Amino acid sequence: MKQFFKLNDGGFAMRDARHGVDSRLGMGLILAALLFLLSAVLPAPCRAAEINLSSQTYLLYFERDVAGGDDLQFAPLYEYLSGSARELGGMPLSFHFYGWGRIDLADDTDDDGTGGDLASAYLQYLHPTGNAEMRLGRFFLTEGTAAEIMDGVFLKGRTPLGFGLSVFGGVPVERTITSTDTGDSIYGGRLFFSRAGFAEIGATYLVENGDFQGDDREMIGGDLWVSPGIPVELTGRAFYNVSTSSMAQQRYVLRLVPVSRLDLALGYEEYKYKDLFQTALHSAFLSPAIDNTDEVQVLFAIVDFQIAEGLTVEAVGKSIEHDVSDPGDATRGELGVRYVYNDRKDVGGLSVAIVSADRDENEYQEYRAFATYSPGRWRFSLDALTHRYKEEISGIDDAYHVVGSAGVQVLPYLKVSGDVTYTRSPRFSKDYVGLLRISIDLSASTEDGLSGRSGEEETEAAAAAETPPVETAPSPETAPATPETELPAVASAPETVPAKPETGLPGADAAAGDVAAPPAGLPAGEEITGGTAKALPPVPVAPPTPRAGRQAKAVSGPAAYLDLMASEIRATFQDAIVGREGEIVEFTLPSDLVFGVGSAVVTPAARESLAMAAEILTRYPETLVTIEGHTDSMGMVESNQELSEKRARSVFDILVQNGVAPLRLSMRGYGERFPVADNSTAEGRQANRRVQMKIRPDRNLKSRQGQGG
Amino acid sequence: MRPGSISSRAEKGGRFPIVYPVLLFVAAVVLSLSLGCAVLSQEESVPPKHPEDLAAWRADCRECHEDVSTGALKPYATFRHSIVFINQHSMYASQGQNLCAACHAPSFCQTCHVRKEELKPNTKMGDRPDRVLPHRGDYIVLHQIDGRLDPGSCFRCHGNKNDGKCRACHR
Repeated sequence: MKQFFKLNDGGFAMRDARHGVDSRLGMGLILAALLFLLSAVLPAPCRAAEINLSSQTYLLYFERDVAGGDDLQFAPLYEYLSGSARELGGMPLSFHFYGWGRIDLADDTDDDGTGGDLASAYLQYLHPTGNAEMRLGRFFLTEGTAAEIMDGVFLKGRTPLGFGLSVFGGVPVERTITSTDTGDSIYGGRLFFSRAGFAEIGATYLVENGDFQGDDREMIGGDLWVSPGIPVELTGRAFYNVSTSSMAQQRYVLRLVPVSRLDLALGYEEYKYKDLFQTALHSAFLSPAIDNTDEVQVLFAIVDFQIAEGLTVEAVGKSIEHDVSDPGDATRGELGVRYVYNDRKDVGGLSVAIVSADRDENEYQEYRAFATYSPGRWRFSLDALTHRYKEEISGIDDAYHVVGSAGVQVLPYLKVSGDVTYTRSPRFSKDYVGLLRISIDLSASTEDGLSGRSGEEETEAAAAAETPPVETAPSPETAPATPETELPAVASAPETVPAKPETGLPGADAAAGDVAAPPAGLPAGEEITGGTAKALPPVPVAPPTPRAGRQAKAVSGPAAYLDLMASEIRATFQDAIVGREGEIVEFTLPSDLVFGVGSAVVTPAARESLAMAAEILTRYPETLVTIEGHTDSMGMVESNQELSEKRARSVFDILVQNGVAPLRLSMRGYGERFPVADNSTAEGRQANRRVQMKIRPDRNLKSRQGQGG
Repeated sequence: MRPGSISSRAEKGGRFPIVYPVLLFVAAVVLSLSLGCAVLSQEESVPPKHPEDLAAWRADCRECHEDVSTGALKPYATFRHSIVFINQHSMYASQGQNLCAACHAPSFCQTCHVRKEELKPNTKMGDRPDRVLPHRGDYIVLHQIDGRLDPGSCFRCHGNKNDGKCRACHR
């Protein structure tokens, strides 16, 4: 077989001139795409209720010296596509796929210029109880000792006693470029017992028929998770290689589960070359240079300590010991700090890693610094890394690697970014790689066409949507939203200033060009709606997501119940925002109308209004209510947290005093953590000071909706 | 070769025919679907999708959740995405992927866990220096050292899959 090697920025990419794209890949991709499209055009009862499609395109450019020529140019174009279609036919059934393909726009070797892989494409059924599930197709499975990619079936379920069983089987697809060495079949299962919050213990059996040093891959594994009580947990995993009749690998970790801001783990791992590497498929693990009798013991400690808001120290220490002196032992220590800033949109970090080894050739140090900066819809990042080797490699004892990146959210669903990477190392004297990245994220619910949805920048886009545009939002001066303002309990005088259109988001019309467009065609009653009255600045609510339409559709029974309740609340409280997202009715009261400044005492007027709210809630008893307190970001984090908790408590008390069963109520203070608007403006802060009631159907109401769902 | 083992059977009669495991699983599917629902725990499963979209930064379930996840049966604190969790994630995923899948699409896991990949994760995500991604920097040189010290750490992902780049030299 003729093979070409090329060094790309990541290392060696080998091209297989004869196979090019695995012929099954093309078939698989076509099948996946067809299934996916099918889910969108099927008749309503079988149609997917929510579809997501995500595309990442990467165009790389670099020049390399390879066997066959100097300064050869390469420009591979990669397309990564992933998607999911959920709630197929109104059931908890979904289809997922992920794969990639490459064509070379420029390639100075005589490579055929294509490549690709179908990583997964499967149907999944998730049962509402017992964590029971079924997968069918190509999927990545981690189940006990198994960490496999297979074309096959996976079934799992847990019984009321806590025992559970999973079985899997099919054809392994873990092999690589040479498709000829694919194993024939793989199958196995796991028996487990679990008790919530206390323990889970499992035993796995796995067989893969194939040619692994002339034998099958057959193993018995155990996995353990025990938490004798927070904050401690013990985990363990071990597997026995049946073919070599020996314990191949074990790993045990004692973890101090996050107590406040500290998270630490102490662990031990050991493995034996001959037993672990028996299932290797290439010579890196089996070369004659490797002493196959070697055993490795690794002791490690990991610490994650948040020393201040946004500032975290991370440390990892590792001691590696071999039974034989070659290749030698080492200690690796790594210390880093991370700082999260700019409303948690950006991160910066510094780290140092030092490897101290018995042999000089294994010693090195690593220093790294990185930072991101995201002004508005832009995002910049810089990552610089250097390695110092104790022993020269090809006459050079250090390496530098710098990545600069700039990106912009062009449209809510479209992001374009570019990276330039510079590497200087013993292998590359001067190496630049350019990368252009285009990310597209689309999603749709049943009634909509495909609409854009920005991925990572979603929060930002949402925030933009939520921030009322200046020209439509009453300024704080004109809005008499003082604590004294009475919360009108009955619909009053909307004729002086017309309320916003019922189906519109507050301010969404003006901002529509900038933000994720609400999916077209959502029925009015199912979309989050906001009725704003004259005196109030519009209090933002979460923008409608495509999910809103889907969920409301799926719950025709409770939906009507919730719709009725929402319309009643809406009619009663003109100054509040009443939203509806799926099965949840969100009822938002501006804190300024309910409490005094910095106070958790409900004003007498608001007390009356809350009594009316309680009255409505008692008439809709088949609901559960979570009361959430939120503040703006002024002042101390801790005091805001405390204030939000007290305010939630006050509302809770008033609802209970007015006849709402306490068992239906829960409350939380969130402090300033979940702003719905920009805290840098007065309007934004006012919008963030709020008390929200999230009203959802209780079990009875849900079950009435139809068991099939 | 030990007599009687599955592998020796396979050796004698050529490869183990795939039809057996397939039949076994068809039978298992039919059996479990007919019996399954009756013997299943009535405890609620992890929902297929987290009801709210989460931000891009490291998740900490404790910001909203308390105690134990009724679906995943472990305390929410366990899943705080600290460096400790990231290091340990395979342990938790090996006892159930449902909670992971509520927020992460398969493409998230398979950025690294694939049978075949040409781009390093940190190349694809050059704009995400904040992510923990393997093989940053001059890894062509570094892998030789890391490989000598702790080859087991390479084996997990490159032992019998995603070894295209390994095979370029290790033939």
